[in-house]
Amino acid sequence: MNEWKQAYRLAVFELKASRKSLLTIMVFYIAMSLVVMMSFDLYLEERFMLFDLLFLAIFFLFPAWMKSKEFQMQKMDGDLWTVPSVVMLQQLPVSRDVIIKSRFVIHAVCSFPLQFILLAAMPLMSENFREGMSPLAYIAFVLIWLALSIAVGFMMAASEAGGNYKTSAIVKSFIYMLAGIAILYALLFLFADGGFIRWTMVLAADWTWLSIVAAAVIGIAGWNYWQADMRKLIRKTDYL
Amino acid sequence: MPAWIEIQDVRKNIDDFRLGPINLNIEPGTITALVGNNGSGKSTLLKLIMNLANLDGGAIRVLGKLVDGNDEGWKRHVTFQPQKQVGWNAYKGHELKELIAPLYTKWDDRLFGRMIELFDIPLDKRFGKMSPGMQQKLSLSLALPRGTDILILDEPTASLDIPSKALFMDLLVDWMEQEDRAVVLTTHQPEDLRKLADYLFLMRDGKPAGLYEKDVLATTYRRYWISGMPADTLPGELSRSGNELISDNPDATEQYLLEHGIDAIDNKLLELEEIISLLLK
Repeated sequence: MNEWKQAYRLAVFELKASRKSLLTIMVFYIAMSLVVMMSFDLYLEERFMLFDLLFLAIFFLFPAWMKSKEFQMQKMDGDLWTVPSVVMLQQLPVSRDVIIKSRFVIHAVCSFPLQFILLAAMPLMSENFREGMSPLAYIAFVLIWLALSIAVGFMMAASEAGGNYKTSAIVKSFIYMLAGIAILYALLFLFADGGFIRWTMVLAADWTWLSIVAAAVIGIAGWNYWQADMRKLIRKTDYL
Repeated sequence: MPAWIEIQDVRKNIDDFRLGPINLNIEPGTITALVGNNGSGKSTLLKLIMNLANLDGGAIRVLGKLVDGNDEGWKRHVTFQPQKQVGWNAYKGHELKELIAPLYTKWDDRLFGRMIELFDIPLDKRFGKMSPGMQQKLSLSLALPRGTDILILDEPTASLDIPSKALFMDLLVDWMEQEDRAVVLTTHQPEDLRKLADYLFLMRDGKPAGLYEKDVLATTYRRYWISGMPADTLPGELSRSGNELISDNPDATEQYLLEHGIDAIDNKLLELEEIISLLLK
């Protein structure tokens, strides 16, 4: 508990130092996201598949892009890529576990408000969505997406530990990642009727309790997994 | 009393660069300067002490604890000031103070205030917007007041103007006298070495080139101007050029000159930077 308190204190410093740009970018991203959300009904009615991709990008990537430049991943000396705060805090009497937790608090602040707004906008902006979801199913739906936010999105927080990478290796892994996303998306398009969001809607509506339990398990597992992963990354990296 | 920092057979490979094996002990109450050419591995060694990189061999203990062990408590006793502060740019001076001060139980707010006043540092300015000299002054003002047992400084005076350099050296000497403390620093400034260092740890291309007590080193090397330079190599002779001879054993050299009736026109101790240049050749 004490570690979380210390992590929160450190996170507040960073958030305060970047509050102007953080708030500006957040408002801009929320506005942009709501514009995209206007085609949600179209997606549900006519299988507008681009919406799925846009929504996933907004949901998972915008939180990472929200931080101001000084607090984002960058190339340091030599082949070191990391977030400068991670180096700074390691030079102070702050344990690695506290550093990890502070990065998670910051990522949560950058991701959860935007994601809640997106999820709240769905029933407000789409009649089709309202019709297809009972209140309990909606809760299950929100939990599924929060679990995904942790299990997938917090990979971004964990990756802030950085590493020693050659630029060519980064380009290669970026290409692989894009290819992976494209394949996954194509598979979803083919097999999950109506796209990813629709698929999670079906899960929440038809297997409500199972979805709630699965979301809780996935969320907790993701939360612990990415912290352990970040711990491993910090141990492995040479911050020279 | 065991050494506060124990560096045993430390090795680190970075691409083509090989650091070590390094063996060095830092005792309480001493100031040890790491001296070497650019790229000799001084900063890397300091970062290894701070556990900012993994060792390829050997071990480092701070106050008896392995720096790469699970217990990170040793960090509370160490202040590290790197050559270039990373991650500070977005913060104003007073924000950095609020962030750092509560992490140290012995934080000396009076000393911080005094240093801010002496160096005339604008605390409401962002670190990234400050000149390199001002950044260094702020870094130092946030280092000494932590009051830790061990202070590690990587080129602390490189960007300071002459008056600030003198001021900092006085402050550091005062700071050392307050308690049993140990300082490890790297510097290319002969003035820093002369005024501050007790020990010099010389490094050449990643390898140790000796640990010397500064005062002993400073009195060991002497230059002689000799009329009628003998053809034989003299005891202690390190080098000669014309009628000039440098010796690292003045007693033996002078004894030889006396015994052979050779007249030394003049002799003078070498400056510390000359000695270091000789040792690092």
